[in-house]
Amino acid sequence: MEVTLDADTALEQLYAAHWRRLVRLAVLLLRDQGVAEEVVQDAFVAMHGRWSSLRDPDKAAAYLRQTVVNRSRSALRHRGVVERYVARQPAPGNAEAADGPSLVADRRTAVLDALRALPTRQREVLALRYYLELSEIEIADALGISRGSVKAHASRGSAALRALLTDHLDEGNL
Amino acid sequence: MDDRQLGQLFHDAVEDVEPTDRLMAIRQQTRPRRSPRRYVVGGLVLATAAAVTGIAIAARPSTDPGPGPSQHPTATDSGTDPTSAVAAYYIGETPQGDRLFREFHQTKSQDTLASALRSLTTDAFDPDYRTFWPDDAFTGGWIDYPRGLATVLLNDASLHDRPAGMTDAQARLAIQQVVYTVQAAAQQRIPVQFQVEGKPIDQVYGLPTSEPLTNAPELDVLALVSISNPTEGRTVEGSFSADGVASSFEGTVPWELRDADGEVVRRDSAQGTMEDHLTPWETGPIDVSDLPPGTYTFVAMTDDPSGGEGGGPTTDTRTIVIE
Repeated sequence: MEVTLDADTALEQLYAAHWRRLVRLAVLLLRDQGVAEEVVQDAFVAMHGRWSSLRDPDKAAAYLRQTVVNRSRSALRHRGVVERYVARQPAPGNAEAADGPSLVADRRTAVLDALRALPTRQREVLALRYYLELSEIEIADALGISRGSVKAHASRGSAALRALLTDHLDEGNL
Repeated sequence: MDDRQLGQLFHDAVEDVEPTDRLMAIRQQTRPRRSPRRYVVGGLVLATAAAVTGIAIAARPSTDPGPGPSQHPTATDSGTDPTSAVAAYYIGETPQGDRLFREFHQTKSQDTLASALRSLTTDAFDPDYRTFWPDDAFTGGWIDYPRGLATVLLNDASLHDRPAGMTDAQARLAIQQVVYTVQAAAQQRIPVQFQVEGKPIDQVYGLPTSEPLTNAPELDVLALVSISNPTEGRTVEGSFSADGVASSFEGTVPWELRDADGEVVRRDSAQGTMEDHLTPWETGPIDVSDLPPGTYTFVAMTDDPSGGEGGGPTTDTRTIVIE
């Protein structure tokens, strides 16, 4: 069935379907929500401009993912993002009350911190695999690397992440 | 720990990240620029206000009450600059001719005056609004609270004369756009001095500006109803509430929710008060959980007991997306 959407309608539908998830993906990659939103906004604008060659919602979704990952990587190169984040980190050893919400917040912070500690490629592969639940082939396409590399980054990355997150995984409070 | 647990950790880590709605901003960037700006002829004559009053302006920086995507603090906010809202006044059509409508814009800048002025030189989110200020009109400004004076810096003297096609009334409204926007940033009804290169400029758009300018009375220049929330293009789930300011007969602000075909699917009225300036109104929660997902229009109106004799009600609209 041939369905032809104009760029504006496609933009609205893709926005409704993917905006939130892509921003969350970008937060996993970048940590900074404001920058994440800007990166994803730019990706949607770029997708709209290329709609005449994409013309298919699935292809457009793949293009969006790829653009978000690429632009997140460029944003990280602007060291400001990392530095601003580091400057705002609370001092270590700040003993919060050990109640539920703060344990949850701790766990979330720990996951984002651990991701940030990984090499960029590993972080990207893991976010696409565990958050977007993409297959190896889809990840390879999105990142422009071979399936073998995806496998290698995934296994090294998840081993490193497991090591960093042992405490939070052993609590069994998920 | 297996893959399933790792997957859960990833989802959980960003579960409370609620992105702000940027559909309208994206649309702004993907549609052809509206240029050159049209100066629509309108027959509005503005009263000149002589008095400077000390009334705090009803500029509420609350941008997003109610359920749905919002900016509540999240675990990841530690890495995000705080955002605040600035009010910008744009031109829109009403039965009384062109009037000023207020729209709130998010900013991460500490300099709310500069952000508000920047808003005036860009397109409003609401496609019904327009502005009389070109892209590079302002270089900044400051507020001198002890002296009770705001200064707005023009980029150069290119706006000294009135452009062809702009009426006297439109020039006055353009000036009031700046005065009201600056006063909202200052949270005070202070006069505004235009400057170029550190010196007062004697004319802007052909109107005398050697001395600081005050605001014209609200009921002479503001649209009699204006929506603050929802913001244009906002996505809502389950229910939403709307608020704004108005000056309407007996304080009644009728509102409607219309579907994509213009069919009214909800209708009620909000109750404000009636005074010699605009006063706040709010709808309370509007349940939309039984409506099919799609694009809707929220319309707020002034009450029109004359049945249209006076030109009909003033309306303000916002597009919302129900999930």
